[in-house]
Amino acid sequence: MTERTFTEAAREALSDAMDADPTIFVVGEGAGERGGNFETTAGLYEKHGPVRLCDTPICERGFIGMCTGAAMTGTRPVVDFMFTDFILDGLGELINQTSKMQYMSNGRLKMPMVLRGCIGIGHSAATHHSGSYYPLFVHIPGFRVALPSNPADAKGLFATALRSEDPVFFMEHRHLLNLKGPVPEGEHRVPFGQAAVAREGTDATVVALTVMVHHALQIAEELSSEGISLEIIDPRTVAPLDTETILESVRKTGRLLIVDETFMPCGIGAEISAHVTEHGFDELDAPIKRLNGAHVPTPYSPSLEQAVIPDRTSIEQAVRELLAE
Amino acid sequence: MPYEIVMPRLGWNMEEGTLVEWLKQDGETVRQGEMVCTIEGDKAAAEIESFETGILKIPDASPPPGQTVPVGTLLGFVVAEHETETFDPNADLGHDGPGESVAALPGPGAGPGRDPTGRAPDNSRDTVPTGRVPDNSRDTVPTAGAAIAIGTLHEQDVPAISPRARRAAETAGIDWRLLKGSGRSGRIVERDVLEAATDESDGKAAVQGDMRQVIARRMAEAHRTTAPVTLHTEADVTALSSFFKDEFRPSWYDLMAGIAAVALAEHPVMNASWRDGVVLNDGIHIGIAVDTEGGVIAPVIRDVPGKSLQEISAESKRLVRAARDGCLTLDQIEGGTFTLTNLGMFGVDAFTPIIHHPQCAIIGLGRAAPRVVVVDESSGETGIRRMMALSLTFDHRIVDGAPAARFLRRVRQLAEDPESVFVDGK
Repeated sequence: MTERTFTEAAREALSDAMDADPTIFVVGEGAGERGGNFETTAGLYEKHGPVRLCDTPICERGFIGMCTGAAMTGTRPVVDFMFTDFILDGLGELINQTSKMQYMSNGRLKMPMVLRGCIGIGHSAATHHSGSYYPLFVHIPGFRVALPSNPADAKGLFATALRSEDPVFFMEHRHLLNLKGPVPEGEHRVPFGQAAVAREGTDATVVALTVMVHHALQIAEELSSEGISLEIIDPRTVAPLDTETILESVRKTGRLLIVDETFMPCGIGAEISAHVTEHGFDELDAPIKRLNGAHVPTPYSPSLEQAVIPDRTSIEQAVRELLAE
Repeated sequence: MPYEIVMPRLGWNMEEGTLVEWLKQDGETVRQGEMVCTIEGDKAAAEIESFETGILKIPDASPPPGQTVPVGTLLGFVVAEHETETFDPNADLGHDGPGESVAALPGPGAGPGRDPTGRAPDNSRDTVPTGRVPDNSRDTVPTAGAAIAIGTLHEQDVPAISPRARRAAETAGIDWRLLKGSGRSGRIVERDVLEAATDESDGKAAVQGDMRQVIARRMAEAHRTTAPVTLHTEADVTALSSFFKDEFRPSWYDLMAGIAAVALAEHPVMNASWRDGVVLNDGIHIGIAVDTEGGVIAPVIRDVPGKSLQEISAESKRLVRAARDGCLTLDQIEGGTFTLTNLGMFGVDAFTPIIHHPQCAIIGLGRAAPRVVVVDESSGETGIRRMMALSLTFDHRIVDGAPAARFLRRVRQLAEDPESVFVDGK
């Protein structure tokens, strides 16, 4: 184990994979010589040169289409969007072509493409640089969506993404980029569809995504002094979603809260809630509760920004309400 | 609409009950789910829960604590707060007093819950008279449980329950409609069920009160109303005695319950009850007379034919312990169809047990003692065998001497050939 930041850990996975597989190349605005806006590719340009670390103009739809074609011909493009918000400019390509190509070719073509970018509210980045949007991609058949919450998972999930035959969204919460933690050295992969039980408990299950895992863990620690025992589940990937681990936890606790910074309607919480109700109705001792960011465009003002995202206070309140049901 | 609190029927045989005490006073606010008074029935006491929220009004004619009154007697009202001004509990009592209620009461074996064929209704549920409210569809409550709900259950009175709690209640065999929920808006959650299950196993519905009075009344009633005849026979229980070596240590009750169950299945009339006529019982539930500080009581081993010897033994040990601890629940003393009693441990050879009314019969077990007996008459060979007297008292109203004797002969045969009953010692 080595202490690494989240970004360093993901970069380690990318660097190792690029060393091992010459078909991997990175495309993005500032991904080349500049080393990435968030240092996602720092040091790789010097090692692999401008062809494999390819700077682009501001034309998301163009380079998404180009990379989709490149993936069809057998290479492994990694598209670095800096901000997930700008993936949206290429949605037509992604949903109509990238996600469907394997199906349309009867499986003869693969689509080994990684789409990465920052997500999350909290840096006064305003409404065009604070989006997460991953529920959109979970909705579409063919995509994989990874949401690491710590450096070790960042390395392990990115390594798995770089070996996937399907298009993978690898989404990095801005609050986590500089988070330090132990990271396994050498080869380290975290399989998709395998949630982590971040903390074991008996009174209620809290499924938390990305940065919310850390808030939930803190609340769990605080409430443990009152004898409240929370189990924290980190799904790690939401497509595929490890519903069995969640159900198993609900079998134990009978109560479920889903904490997600993204919007509530048709979100991950809605999906988990429906699944647990369908497959674990008799396990439930209380209505399932969701805690999400406000269903509004993200404000610029720091105080307003704070008001629209779940924080430790609102998580604690939600937990207490759930236990009072 | 004032909600009436009447003397409930706590068990099939309960004709009258005693208001032990009010847990709420006249004029006091009562919340839905709160206990309002304590009632003592035949052998058990229970707290009575209000299914409405309002003000408790005790009419002048309500029986004072300690007085025994017929089932169905009006005890009090729970009146909605806005109705208290206009409501006069004594005016209402005039046309719905105890006299009238009693007249309308279903006695055991007559009334609702009994079908025209004369077969016994399901004893596990009982009908509680509700006075004027003719809503028969919902006014049934179980005969046992920590809380006995009375009166008419309205739709909104049925509490909400979480799916998990409902499943837990089914597993524990608890009627969740009688529970008070601790979840939001009174929803019953799993912990409420688990607590109730613990309470029941702790024996909250405890057997209390003056047991002597109850025993006296029941014994006299049995003596007065039955036509008892006692038959004696002697069984060679040498082989049966070897079962005591089993690691779970069955008692004479356990062994004889298993044997009697087989014989009762073959002679269903011996498993019958008298309820204004002969009523054959569906199940075979065998009571075992237990000597306790308060007096004799006969907890019931249920569905004996469906149990292995080991299960019978485990159940009877539980019942005996509960009886001695004075914490039998109504469920555990109600619904027997046949009874065993044992005085053998006191060196009694044979006796004439009294029928546990309204059952048909009872077998008394005498002492099992080694005796010199003739093993083979032709050779004159004698041997030492362990012999036990079996005393069968039966109600001649239900069955005649010859069929009763055939039943006793069958019991003796099975007792002498226990391997035919307990295959592989089970």
